Amino acid sequence: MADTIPFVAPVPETLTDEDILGALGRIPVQFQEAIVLCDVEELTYREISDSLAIPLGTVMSRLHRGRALLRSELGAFKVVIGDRRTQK
Amino acid sequence: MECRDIREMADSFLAEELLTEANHEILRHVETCRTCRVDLAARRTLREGLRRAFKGAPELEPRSEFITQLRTSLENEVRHLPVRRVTRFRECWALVATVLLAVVVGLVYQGRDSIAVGHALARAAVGDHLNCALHFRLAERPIELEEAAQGYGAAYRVLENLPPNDVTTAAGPAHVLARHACVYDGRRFAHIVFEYRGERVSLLVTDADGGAQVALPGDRLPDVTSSGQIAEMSVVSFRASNHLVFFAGSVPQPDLKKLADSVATPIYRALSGV
Repeated sequence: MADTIPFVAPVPETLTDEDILGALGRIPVQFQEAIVLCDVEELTYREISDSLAIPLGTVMSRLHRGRALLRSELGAFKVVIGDRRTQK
Repeated sequence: MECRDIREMADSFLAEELLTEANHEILRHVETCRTCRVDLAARRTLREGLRRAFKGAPELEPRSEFITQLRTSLENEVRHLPVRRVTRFRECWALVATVLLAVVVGLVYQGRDSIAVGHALARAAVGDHLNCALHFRLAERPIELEEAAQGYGAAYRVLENLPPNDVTTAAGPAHVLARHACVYDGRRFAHIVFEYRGERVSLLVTDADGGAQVALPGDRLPDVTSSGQIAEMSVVSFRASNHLVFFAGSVPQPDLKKLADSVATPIYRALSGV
């Protein structure tokens, strides 16, 4: 088990801005917060830690878990869309 | 470095948070590992997608005045109060985060055609209530609503006669003590002060700048929402087209909501037309 690579949901190839913002909005706020400050505002981990008054390790774990959740949401979105298209 | 290590460090690599040696090791690994290369590309795509989505949605950007104010605050703090810089920085960026997230959550959870009340604006409304209605220590003198209407928009005129001076609510009567326009922390409000349940309570209307411009049919009812406590003040709010309406005061939240429920509909309809 130690040698296995943890599963990470794939990012769908075609994503609209609404897909991304929708998925972001479905994950818990503390993860949204870390992701937005890091990926959009391009703050460093240290700056995020200062701005949110949380330890550096918490920043990293929120980013890690938040991104995994975001990818899951986007993956789930793809499945839903795929199902709908199939039904048509 | 194994694939597992690469996956764990991939986002830190993209965020340029790793030491040079670690960066080189990752680059060396992905040169020969297609799976990790694809994974890294996917993560990069997601980051870029997020950035693009925010850039493509101007309503998600903090308003420019806010950014200017933030930068000024940071510069002043660095210049004059270096010891407190970190604390101030923390407060400022927490505000930025709040602004961004309030908008994201508002848009996503409540939908573009419903109320999206920013927590930062609610804080500003409470600040105005505290500094204008209770402690009379605003930096700028309040002006008449008519004067504000001429300079800043017809919405201020709406509040000259709405709500009426005497209001009956399910929790007892409310009486208007003052109507004016005032500025708190760079934000302008139409401000009505009530006496209600033995306390001063504020009704504050401000532009919903940065939010989606929503055209609401006049016959729809306002969605009056309790926004919890800020600085030990109860806060209730609703959105009316391009404006946000806040009620703030130290009365219990249910009583404040009863006041808001009693006066919201005519204000909502009148503001929807301006």
